[in-house]
Amino acid sequence: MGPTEKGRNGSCGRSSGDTLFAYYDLQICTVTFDFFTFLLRAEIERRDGGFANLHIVFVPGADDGFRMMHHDGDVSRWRLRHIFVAGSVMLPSIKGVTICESRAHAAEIEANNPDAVFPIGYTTQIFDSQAANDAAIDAFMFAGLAALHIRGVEIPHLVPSDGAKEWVRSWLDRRAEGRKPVIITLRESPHDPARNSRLDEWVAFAEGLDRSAYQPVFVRDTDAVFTELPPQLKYYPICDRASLEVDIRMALYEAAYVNLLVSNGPLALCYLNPRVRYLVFKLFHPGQREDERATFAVYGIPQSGQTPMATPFQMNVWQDDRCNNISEAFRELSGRIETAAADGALDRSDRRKRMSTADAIASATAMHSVGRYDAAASIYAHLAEVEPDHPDIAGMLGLARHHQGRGDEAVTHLERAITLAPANHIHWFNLGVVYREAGDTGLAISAFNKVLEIDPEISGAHENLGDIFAKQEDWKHAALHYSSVIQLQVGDLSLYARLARCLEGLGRKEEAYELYRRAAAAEMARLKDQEDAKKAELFSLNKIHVGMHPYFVLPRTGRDLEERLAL
Amino acid sequence: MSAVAKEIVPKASPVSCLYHLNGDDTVWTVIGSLSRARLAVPEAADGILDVILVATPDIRAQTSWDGSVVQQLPAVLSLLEFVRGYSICARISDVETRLANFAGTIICRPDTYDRVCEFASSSQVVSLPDTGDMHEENAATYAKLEVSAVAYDFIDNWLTANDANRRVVTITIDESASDSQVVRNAEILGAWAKAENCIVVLMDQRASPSEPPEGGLAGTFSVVPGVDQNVELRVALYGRSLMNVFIGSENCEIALPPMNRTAVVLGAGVNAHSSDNARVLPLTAGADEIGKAVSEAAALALDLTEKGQNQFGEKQMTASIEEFYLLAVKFLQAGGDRVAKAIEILKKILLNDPKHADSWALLGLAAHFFKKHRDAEGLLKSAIALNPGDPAYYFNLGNVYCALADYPNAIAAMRTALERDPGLFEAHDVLADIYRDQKQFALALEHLDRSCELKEKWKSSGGQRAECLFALGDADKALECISQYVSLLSDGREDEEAAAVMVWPWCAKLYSSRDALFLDDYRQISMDERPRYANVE
Repeated sequence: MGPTEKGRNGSCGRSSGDTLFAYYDLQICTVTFDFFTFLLRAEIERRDGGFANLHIVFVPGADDGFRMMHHDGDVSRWRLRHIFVAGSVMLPSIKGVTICESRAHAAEIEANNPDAVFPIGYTTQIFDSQAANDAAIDAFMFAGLAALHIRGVEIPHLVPSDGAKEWVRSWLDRRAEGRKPVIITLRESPHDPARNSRLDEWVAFAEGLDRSAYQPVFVRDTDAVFTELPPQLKYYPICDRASLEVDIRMALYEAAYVNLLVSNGPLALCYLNPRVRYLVFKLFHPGQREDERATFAVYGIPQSGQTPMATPFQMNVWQDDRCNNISEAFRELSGRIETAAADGALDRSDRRKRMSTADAIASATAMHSVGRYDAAASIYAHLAEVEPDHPDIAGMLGLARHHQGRGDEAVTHLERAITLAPANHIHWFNLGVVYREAGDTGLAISAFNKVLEIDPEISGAHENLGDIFAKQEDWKHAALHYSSVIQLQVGDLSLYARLARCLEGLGRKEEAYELYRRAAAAEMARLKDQEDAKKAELFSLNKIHVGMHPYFVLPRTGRDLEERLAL
Repeated sequence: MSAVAKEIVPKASPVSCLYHLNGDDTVWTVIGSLSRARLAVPEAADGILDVILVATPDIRAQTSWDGSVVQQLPAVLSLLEFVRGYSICARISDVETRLANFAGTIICRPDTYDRVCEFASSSQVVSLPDTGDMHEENAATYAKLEVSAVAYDFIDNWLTANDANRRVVTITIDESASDSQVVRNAEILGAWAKAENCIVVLMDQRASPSEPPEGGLAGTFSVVPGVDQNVELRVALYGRSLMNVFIGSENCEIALPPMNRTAVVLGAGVNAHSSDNARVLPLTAGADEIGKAVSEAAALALDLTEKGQNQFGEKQMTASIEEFYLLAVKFLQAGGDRVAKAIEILKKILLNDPKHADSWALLGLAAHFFKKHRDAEGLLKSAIALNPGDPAYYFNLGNVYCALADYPNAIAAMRTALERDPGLFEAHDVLADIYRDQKQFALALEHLDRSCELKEKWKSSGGQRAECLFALGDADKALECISQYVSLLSDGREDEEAAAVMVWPWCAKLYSSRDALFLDDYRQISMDERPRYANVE
């Protein structure tokens, strides 16, 4: 069968063949479980583009076949074979996989099939095309998939092979003997150990389960499978094969009554399969709350929120993996499962729900806040069609267009938001920002003045006005606005520097110097703290960073050694 | 008709291999066939560009004795160094266009030769002999297998966790053996291994994998995760074992010619290409006969190891001290539990060569990381005594003194490091820091400028320079320095932005705060950061 005319996103009638070639470019994409997001994006394109089959093409990157690696090359290659290629069996439409010997090899495949390329806009000649880079990045980001779901597109899911399902059924039968298998996936990595599972807590939870009803089963971290079994796990079934084979892992997750885990790579498998019931804990750890928040925002998951595609039996638990937290969440989820089973609704439990407008905005805003502008804008645009008179949607769409570099559209949407909610200073503020970036200084000043008219304590408006006047060397007005910000006590050190610059412009050099001096002293103290913290971190890692830290030099001065080690 | 490769391919050209799998194929026949493909044309000696494996009718449905052959193919191909790229697909038609446009040599099986000739008219097409007589071939036919470092790491971790180094005997059971034969032979071998204090790993693809054997064999065997299904792990285990025993015919092909490990084979199928290291017996051999063969093989393996030879009978490749040293460096850099390994390696190096100064120095660095500064001092001094010329030793010693707050010695060590290597800008940085801490701003400025000059990093050191200038009372120069960066930034010159960020991290905010993403967030962030600057206000 050939492609039909029903293709989306410009894919209409673009191939004479029946196979869509999906290029996973290792120059850009990560060697992580995000690959499976890419597979589902490709599957949607295959389905909607009318192609019969998918062929996955792995395009080598410049750094030993990968992008600047966070894994050792051997580890990346292992993952490529045992997670990516082996995991491709979980999408039945995949009828071929190619690991290219070189980028030229991939270019040859592309040249032979020019009308059947996924991601749309991608080319193997990425070094000449920002659009190709952007397309490659977008295709493996979960945000894109979540955005499609929110827009009502049916998302396919990964399916373990029949062989894997059969093996798991047989394996579990012998161990669970009719009880409900509760699968506990451990994180036991030497990297960032603070994120690891608290083994004692998990064992305490397993011990507390009613063993006449449930059979706990542990899945160890892949890296840990070959190390000594912790004594606490000695009396529990351990499914090592699931740690090593992604197909088996997925089959086990599907067969589980409930899966429990901390945030980890395999969590992506749970997110991408609505048949997998899960509870995930430790979505952040206290020392890295902001980083973790950003990580989940990329998935469209707002703080304390759920994954956009989650079913009622898939829950993010924003708590640490302590026994009482685990037990409580388990009770809640098993209650839901039993209720659904009693209502005969469990068979339909894998159907993903449509999101409410409020949840959709929260999800889009999460993506927006971490720079996933295209995904966020596509959701806002969809919501704006459904609810054209919602001022927040119009305002956020305007802001997203601004971030996408589509200034004219940004103005249109922000003006629409202002029409719908004229007293909301945020829309005026953002309109001012858009005008300022566009160089429409007069309109920007008007917009920021409007903000201050509504609320004189919006320091950002003062700051922007200060910057505009400073640029015009209107030092007096600039100084007034900077002073206002400082008086409002929401400024940072840069404001002192900027105010000092104004004072210099006004010829008040002594005052300017004093401001600079105080700012510098405070900044130095902060940098010193940072430096001390960095040193402490290095000690805690027991790790030598060649070339990253000036305070250790390896024998032979380190630098030539660096080359020899091909770091 | 097929032709003899060497006669029809006279020119150098890229080589592809189209291999159409059939129901009889196993991972071992694929390895054998591709090994022969490599020998089919001279050009393939440089590697086969693209191995195309066609698995019909459906990529998911191909199964064989070891589960899914298709799922194993990436691992199989990873063992063959000459395979540079590969495809696995469901139909020949999927790759027809590609091969039609391929200008080189295509090697294929005889049953697809005619079809390939039809669509690949611009290529030379070479047919492989069929695989029926593989057992008759010479051992040299088989490519040597390359096992990934990850697979060896996994197996080494298991051996360490089970205290099993050099004591593992594997028994691989093949489908050609009957149950009773398997059980009988496995029992004999298990008893022998137990008496010899060896650990026996049983691999059996017929039973549910990774399951410890039941009945009379329970408790006799150890289970290594993954070796039943994952050919990379299995080959890595064969490579690390004292001896491998095969009951049946198929698996021995992987461990005999390509790995050439000491082996005992019970069963047919191994004849002409068996190595000297193998003892071959019929499946029905008696217990005494088997015990004798196993003992002989074990003795041979131990003998070869003690002679410093590997089981190829070649001189064992002993890693040089230099290679061990680099490995230790890698482990130290990897951090975590590898640090202990690194220290172990360094200690071993010093046992062999107590005058290896770099190892003393690296141990000193490791001690420094563990905050054992006095130990570090002693170790680094040992390195210096052996090799007073290396500036890194003095530099690291200087850092140890810094950690001990012994600044006079730190300064002396850094100065010596600079005498040995005047280009060591890091030493200038450290000296600048020390002098700044000691309020000797003129000296600090001197070293800072020298460091900037060497590293061409004047932009990123502006902050420190300004601080020194302030402290020295040269307000105009300091002001000039800061204004320069601020004005670069306010001009919005992107190429200077990074520099300005480096100079004054807070200048980044000057730029980014123009754009308030979400006002509420922005306000919150500002509020969060305010206490940091409380001393300014």
